[in-house]
This record gives sequence, structure tokens and C-alpha cells, in this order.
Amino acid sequence: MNNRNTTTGRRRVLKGIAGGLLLPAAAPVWPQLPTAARPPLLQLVPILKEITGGAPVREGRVKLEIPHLAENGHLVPLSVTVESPMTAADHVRTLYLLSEKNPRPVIAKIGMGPGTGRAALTTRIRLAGAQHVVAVAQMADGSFWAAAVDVIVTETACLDASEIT
Amino acid sequence: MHLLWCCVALVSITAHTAEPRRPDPLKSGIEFSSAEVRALQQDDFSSPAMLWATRGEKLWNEPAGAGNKSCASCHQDARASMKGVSARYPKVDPGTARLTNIEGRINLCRTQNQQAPALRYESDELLALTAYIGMQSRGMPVNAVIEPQNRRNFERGRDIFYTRMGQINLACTHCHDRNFGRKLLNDTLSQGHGNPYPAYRLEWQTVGSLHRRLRACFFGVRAELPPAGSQDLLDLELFLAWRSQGLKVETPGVRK
Amino acid sequence: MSVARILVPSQAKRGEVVEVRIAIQHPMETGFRMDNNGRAIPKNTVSNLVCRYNGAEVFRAEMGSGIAANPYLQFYFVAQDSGNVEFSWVDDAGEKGSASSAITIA
Repeated sequence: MNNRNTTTGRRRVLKGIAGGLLLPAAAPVWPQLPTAARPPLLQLVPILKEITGGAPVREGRVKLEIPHLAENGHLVPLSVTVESPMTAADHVRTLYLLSEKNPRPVIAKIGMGPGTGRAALTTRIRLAGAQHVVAVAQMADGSFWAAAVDVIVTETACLDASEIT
Repeated sequence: MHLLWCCVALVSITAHTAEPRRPDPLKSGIEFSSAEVRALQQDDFSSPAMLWATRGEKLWNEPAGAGNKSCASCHQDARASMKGVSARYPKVDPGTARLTNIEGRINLCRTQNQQAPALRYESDELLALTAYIGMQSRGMPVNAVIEPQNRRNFERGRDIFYTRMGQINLACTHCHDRNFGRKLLNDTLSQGHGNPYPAYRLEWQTVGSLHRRLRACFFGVRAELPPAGSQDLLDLELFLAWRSQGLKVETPGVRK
Repeated sequence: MSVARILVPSQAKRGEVVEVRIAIQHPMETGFRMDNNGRAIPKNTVSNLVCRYNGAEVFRAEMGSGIAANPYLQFYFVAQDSGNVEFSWVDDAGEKGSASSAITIA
């Protein structure tokens, strides 16, 4: 009697401990924060002020696609598209990829022109922890347009060193 | 009654079973990977692992050593001569009578036939060559044959797989047989197969060998790390090859 | 010389927007990693990549350590005349790289 309880008790305790570590692999849904709930762009990426020289930045025309949940911050795929006819009169001049929390806020500065044809880029970035990524397009007429995405990063780049292994 | 329960407890504590079994269903690690990792492995151009295979193709044709011979000098086109080779490794080398993996076989060729220095594990050159040679078996089933010459190696590898080790006191089987598909902290546990190696791991930001990955697992349970190329890891590599029999080679693979 | 692969279509129609890709083997060393002696490994990233089509710049990427190791870029240009698509880049250590591919316009 005593022993039966002990065995079951041990199994239950083990399950409790294991349950903390070994969770069933359910696919979580990470909804995007509504724009209103997100801090303003200048607060997310203060370097924006330097880039724009104080000019207003509107949200729109820029579509930024990043997985909501990045398994590893060392390689996060990113696609950015800007609505623009890419003519001599109306095109994207410069596209900035900015990071809220990386040690260096400017991920890349992309130069484009009418010869580019389509203001679209796919690349892979590093993210040092969960944060916002902001894409800012400067148009030929000097106006700025932006989009921001919130990314959850489970293994952090720059800071999680795994040199031993 | 008391004795019976003691026996039951003893059996459940001992991880080692009489006959090793393959996981069922047999699944490659790519099936436990995220959509992003799967997309990377599938696209040959954007796969970072392919950069090493491309370098491997260059090295295959480059003369090396005192003899100034390249791999191609003897083996011609790797697409023909190396087809299916990796899938049958590790195996006992007829010359040395020792269990040898692809890295070891390359170094035997380099030192004996090319009179060139051996390549270090995790060196760019050795990774590139093993990635390129492994790629010639891509899509083919893993098929390491267990026979009298390597039976002892197989049994030693099996014993390593089922023996608890390290401060964490876990055996490979605890995660990779009993808990694949479930999560350890944030990682989804795979079945622990070697079929994509050498592979590009996002965490490493580079391609690495199977031995590097195995050493990382030893580190994970806080056990002493056997050196890359050591007998322990070679024996384990053979057991893992047996255990992944039939799975398709994915070299050069991509993993997180 | 690091390995680089480019993907440029061999043919296109005049005025067509063409997709090109480049993948470069490069550690994009951040400067934040330490070696086994605790010393920081110096920063070394591919800093400037330029794509020229028949000599005219159609795309430029100034990259930093925020771009993942073994940088990969996929972008576009407008096909006009037959000629050459050239990629050139340089890293912090001064190592230059280049790749090019011919394109025929129908």
C-alpha cells in the first residue's frame, strides 16, 4: 500500500518537474501589436531624428515582413517592399533598416534609384533580443515613410555566446 | 510485494534496453525545425550551407601537397565517384582496419596520397570538403552496415547512447527517444540524427561537423567533451548512422 | 577570397524588372564576440556592396553587424540593354570581392 503510493507519488513529482521543462509543442500565435499600442517611432529608434533631420515620418507605403517569432536572433529573414513607381520623378532614394535594441541601431542603409525598378529587398538580419524593427524609406521628394514590426527573439544575437560548442 | 515494487522501480530507472531500437516514426530533424529553417534548407541558393559545398567543389579540383594532386586527379568528377559514399559512412577502412568517418577518410587521402597535411576538424577546408562530398549522397538513404568488423564499435556507440552522463545525468535516449517533439525550454527536441551533417547551424553562424554537434550535447548535460575525431564520437557516429537507417541524407543541411 | 554566389537571369526583355540575388560567405564579425583568451574579436563586416548594370549603379547596400553572417541580398533592377551585371563589395579589413554575370536583352 505504502509502496504503491510512493511509486505513483514519484511519477507525479517527476511529471511536475518535467512538465516545467518539457512542454508539448503547440504552435503559438503571436499577434502583432496594434499600432496605437506601440511606442512612437522616435522613441523606438531615436536615430530616426538624425536620419530625417526632424522631418515628419509617416506610416504607410512600406511593408515590412519578418517572422513574428524568430527562433534564433543570429539569422532572421526580412523582406521589405515600398509602394513606389520607381520613376525618375518618384522613387525610393534610401531605405533604412533600423533596430530598437541592437548594439548598433542601423542594420543597413540601402541606396536605390529609378534603375532599381522595384523597391523591394529580402535579406537576413541579426536581432539582439525581442524588439521592434523599423524600415524607413526616404523618397526622391524628400518625404519619409516607415513601418515597424515587433519580433520575439528566443536566442539572442550579439549577447548569447556559444563559443564552447 | 515490497520486493516486486523495488524490481519495477529498478527496471524503470535503468534506461538501457536489451536491444536498441530506432525511433518510431523515424523523422529527420528538419521536421522539428521552424518554417524559416526549412525554407533555408530547401533553397539551394539562399542556403548558407551551400556556400561551403561550393567551396568544397573548388577545393576538390585544387592540387595540394608535395604530389601536387587534387582530389579530382584520382577521383575525377565527385558527382559520379562520391555518389552514395557518405551515406555508407562511418565504416572500417580496409587499410587501417579502424572505424573511419568522412573527415578521417579525407585526411587519410591527404596524408597518404597527396602528401599534404591533415585538415583540422572545423577548419573551413575540411568542412567544405565534407559538405561537398556529403552533398553527393543528398536524397539517398543513410545506410551504414553493421557487420563483424564494426560490431564492437556499434556496441560501444550504443552503450554511450544509453548511458547516463554528466552533472545533469541524462543519456541521449532520454531526450531523443523518449521526448522528441516536446520542448526543452524553448527548443523542440529532435530525434538526434546525423543525416544533415555537416550542417549550417544558425547558432554557430557557420557550418559545423557532426562531432561539433555531439560535443555540444555532451556540454548540454555537463559531461566531459570527447575530442572531435575521438573513438567515442566515432563509435557514437556509427550507432547514430544505424539508428537513422533509411532517413535521407540532407547534407549540407540547415538547422537552428 | 570568400565564396560568393550570384543569381542573375541570362536573358530578359527590355524594360523588365529583373530579380537578382547574392550570397557571400563572410562571418560579419560583430566585434562583440570574445576569443578563448577573453579578447574581443575585431569587427569585420562586409560594409559596402554595390551592384552596377552596364556601369551604372542600380543598388547599394551599406551593411553593418546587424546583417546576419554570410550575407544574403535579393533585389531588383530594370533590364535595358544587353551587357554585364557586376557586384563589388569590400569589408572592414579591406578585402575586396566581386562577381559578375552577363545578361542578354531580347
